[in-house]
Amino acid sequence: MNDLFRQYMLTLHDDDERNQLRERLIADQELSDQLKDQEDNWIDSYAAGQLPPEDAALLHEHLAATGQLDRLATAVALASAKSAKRRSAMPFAIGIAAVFLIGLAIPILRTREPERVAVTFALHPGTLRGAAEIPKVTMTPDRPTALQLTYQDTAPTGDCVVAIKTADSVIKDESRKPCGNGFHTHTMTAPLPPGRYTADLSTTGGELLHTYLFDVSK
Amino acid sequence: MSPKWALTAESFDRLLAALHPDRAEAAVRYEALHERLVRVFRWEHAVDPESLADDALTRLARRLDEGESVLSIPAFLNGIARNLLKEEGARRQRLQPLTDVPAPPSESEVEHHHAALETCLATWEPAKRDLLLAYYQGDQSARILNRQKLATDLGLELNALRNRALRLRERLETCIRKQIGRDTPSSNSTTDRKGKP
Repeated sequence: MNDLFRQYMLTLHDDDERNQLRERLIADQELSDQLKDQEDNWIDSYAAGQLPPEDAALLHEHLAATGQLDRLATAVALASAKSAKRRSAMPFAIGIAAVFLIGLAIPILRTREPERVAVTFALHPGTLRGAAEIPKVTMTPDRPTALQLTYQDTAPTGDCVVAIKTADSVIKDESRKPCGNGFHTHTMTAPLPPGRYTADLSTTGGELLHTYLFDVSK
Repeated sequence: MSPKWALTAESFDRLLAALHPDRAEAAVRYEALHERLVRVFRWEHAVDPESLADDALTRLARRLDEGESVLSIPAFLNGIARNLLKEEGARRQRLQPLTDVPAPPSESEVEHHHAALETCLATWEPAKRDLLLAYYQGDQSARILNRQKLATDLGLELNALRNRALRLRERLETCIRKQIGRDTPSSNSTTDRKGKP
């Protein structure tokens, strides 16, 4: 995300430039609100798992440094409250029909329960990882695991296909959905047993974009 | 400058008068200025933004009390802010991005926040609750259109809508912190989610 928040948080190492921006933020309520709004948007995107890994790390550091990590949990809670609100707006007739099903479907209709947040791991293509050790992905029993597959160059368009394979090329997990902006998120359908895996990111036309190597540990 | 200087009712009145001739309007401007200073100090990763904002305005009041001519209050406050940030520089750190992505909040933490959020929102007027939920509805791309439609529906400019939503969110976050026993943002745990204290 390229915006004023990023500029102020990270890329503004020029003290004169930072000084000028700080003075404007003290003088201008609208600019201050704009930056605050962008900060909130970053937090919400992080909570939704939509922030690129490097931005997520930057935001996390900012919130940790200022004692505001609790805002992440609030953002997740706010998102689930919004989901509950949308669900409550279903047509009246469907609502009546739901009453008859409620005895059978109580677990499904617990709309106020917070959504499970995936534990996310960022992976870089082999060509970018260099000599760095193979990243480890840990499966959490009660939460889904997601892989953020970062692109080496520009983001592809259309749908992306992800295939998770073991060394003997047996496909363990495959998905197809729209490609992301800075990375593509693949959420595991089921926990993988410990071992070494590759994730192949391809276009729907079959063009292999990147291969990501990772180890799954307990 | 005398080291024994302290903020008095007279010096505070002088500060308000410098902000606006009308006292009520001056009080509004003071509050807004204080809020902007808190934000700036927080974005600069100050350890205690609230108290630094208080210090900055007290220093401004002192200069005015001592007869200093202040042509631009924001420029003057920025100079004070820069000095205050230098003074606590040892406590601050310039951010270095992490090398990997930290874990999101735990499920139990989210559940606590969700329960607190429900409690807080239950006491709100429906119109305010609906505005907050509608403003933050959808992902990044959908939000722009949502907010434009919401502003049209409410007969507001986008800036005015944003202003209201920001304040409602701040109010909600403050309420949630109180509900879960955290009175100030800086009083909560800053434990690194990667396990480091």
